[in-house]
Amino acid sequence: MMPDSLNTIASRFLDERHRLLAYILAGVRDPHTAEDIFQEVWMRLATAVESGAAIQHEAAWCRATARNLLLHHWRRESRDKVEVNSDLLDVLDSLESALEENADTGDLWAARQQALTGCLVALPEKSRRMLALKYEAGLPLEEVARSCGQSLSAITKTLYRLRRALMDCVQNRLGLGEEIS
Amino acid sequence: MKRMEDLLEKLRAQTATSEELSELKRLLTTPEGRAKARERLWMECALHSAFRATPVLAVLAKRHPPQPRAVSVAAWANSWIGKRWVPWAAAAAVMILGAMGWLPWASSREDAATLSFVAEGGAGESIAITRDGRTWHPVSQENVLVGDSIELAEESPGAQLQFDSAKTTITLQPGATFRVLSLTPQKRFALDRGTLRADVAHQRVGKPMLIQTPMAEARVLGTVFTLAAESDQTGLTVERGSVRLSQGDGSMETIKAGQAAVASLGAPVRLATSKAGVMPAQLRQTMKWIKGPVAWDSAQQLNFDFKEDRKLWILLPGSTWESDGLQLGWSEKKPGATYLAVSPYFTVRPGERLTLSGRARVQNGAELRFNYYKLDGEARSFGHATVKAAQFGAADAEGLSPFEIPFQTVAAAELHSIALILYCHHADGTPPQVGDAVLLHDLTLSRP
Repeated sequence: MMPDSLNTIASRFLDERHRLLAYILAGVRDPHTAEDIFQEVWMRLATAVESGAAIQHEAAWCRATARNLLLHHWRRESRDKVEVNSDLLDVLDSLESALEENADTGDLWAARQQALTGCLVALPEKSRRMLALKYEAGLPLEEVARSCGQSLSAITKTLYRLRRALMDCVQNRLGLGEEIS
Repeated sequence: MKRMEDLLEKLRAQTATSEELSELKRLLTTPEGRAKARERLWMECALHSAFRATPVLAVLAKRHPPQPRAVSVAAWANSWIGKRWVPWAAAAAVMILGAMGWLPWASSREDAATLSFVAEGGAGESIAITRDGRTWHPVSQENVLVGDSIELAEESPGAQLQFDSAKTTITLQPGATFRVLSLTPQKRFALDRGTLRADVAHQRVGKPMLIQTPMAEARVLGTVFTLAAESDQTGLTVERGSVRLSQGDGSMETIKAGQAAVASLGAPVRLATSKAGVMPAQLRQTMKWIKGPVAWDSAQQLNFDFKEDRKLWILLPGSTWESDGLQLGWSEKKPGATYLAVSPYFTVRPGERLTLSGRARVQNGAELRFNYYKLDGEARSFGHATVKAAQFGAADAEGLSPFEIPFQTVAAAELHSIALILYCHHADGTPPQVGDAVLLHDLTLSRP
């Protein structure tokens, strides 16, 4: 049986999961790697709580852990070719604080997600397929471009425009102002 | 916005230069820059969640493409989930039809077809190619594209795929089901069942050929090997070069020329002591035993008896997944960890509360724990989550003690397929010895 304290922390962790995942996705492109890092953060948090560690601010603790795992991932994937310099660490810190600035409630996240689903359904089949190749299959852009018969630069621009259009669509559906975040 | 997008993309791809990192850092000092970064990351996260939350049957269709015979989608779905779910199945079939159009296995295409298909000596209807839900029987030669599924009946003469200017050949044995997931820049295939022999020309550095099976993945740079797959076991024999065989529990072995290995349910990838243990014919025979009592091999590493075919369960709200009469022994993954894996396929949402329950008889008293693991649709990813322990109640007349393990999924996105890994330890904390046994009855996973 999960101890009550862990239950409580699990609930808070789940409430915060979108922000943590967004932070992790700032550092990795592959969605499965991002999910694995996310799971590892949870496992480390659960282990720490079960061992009686005092964690003052869980969200910050999780982002710090995620940051370390991201750095570890970069070093491993790039065989030390990535220079972990102060600029890189500053960028990660800035992204963390940017995400922290606008605390999203679970309800608002769900509303946005629902709106996005509606917007995706309204997209032309070709556009949906392009997004599915990237976000469901997790293919690199080069492979998405090849599958869609477009150049890399063309597919990059198309995806950019698609995301922009989806952002506008979500804003319209929610009746939000200019900035969704 | 565009510049921010470019810089973030380079950061994510780990290709940002020092100058670009400095520029990104500078942009993030302004409120506008932070808002744009937040917006971009929110969209990335939201799209990730949206596409991970595709309808369960669409995902299952990806893992288990419809048989290439003339079977309607509704009938196919209904055959899996039972007649009591007919209305739901009909709705799900509509979802499948809507979703399959943008599933990559079904619809992705290469501009240049670099793969050819040769049916030796005329195959009648024993060889079937399925593309975008349409199935036909090739007369002699056929171009095969990314997304195609090839199924060979047991009575087929076999078939050969050629690519890399015929320097690489994959010979499919009768009974094989094979899918083409990608051709360039990296060749990726799925061998869902059956046997193939491959003679692979040297592949590009960093782009090994990958062949996924239900249990494992083979990474190939240039070699000759035979791979055999069934739902619970993958066998590999290497004739030349080397192949790395890995499976979802993280275990892997590099198999060299003259060696053989097996990846199987509940056990890590291991070198076979003799090639006979993983030869295709014997493998198929072993798989047929799954529906009855199984004596795995002389090493007594794993014994189990499933009374039902462990193909698929779909856990709808208010329903349960049940398996009774599960008897297992233990094999050692590493000191102190003994386990058995079962993998019902169903979608669970982040934060969802489920309960694993049943009745058990454990030698010498024991604690039963389990992890659940994410099994990605293409078995690329493997994450683990929370761990629970069961307290056993008083034994009933059959000597079986009830247990109940409530748990909550803690995950980033919906999990479409999970493996339940059951661990057992003696009450004093020592792991069971090989040969110890646990009897599980009425193993049930329920969703309120």
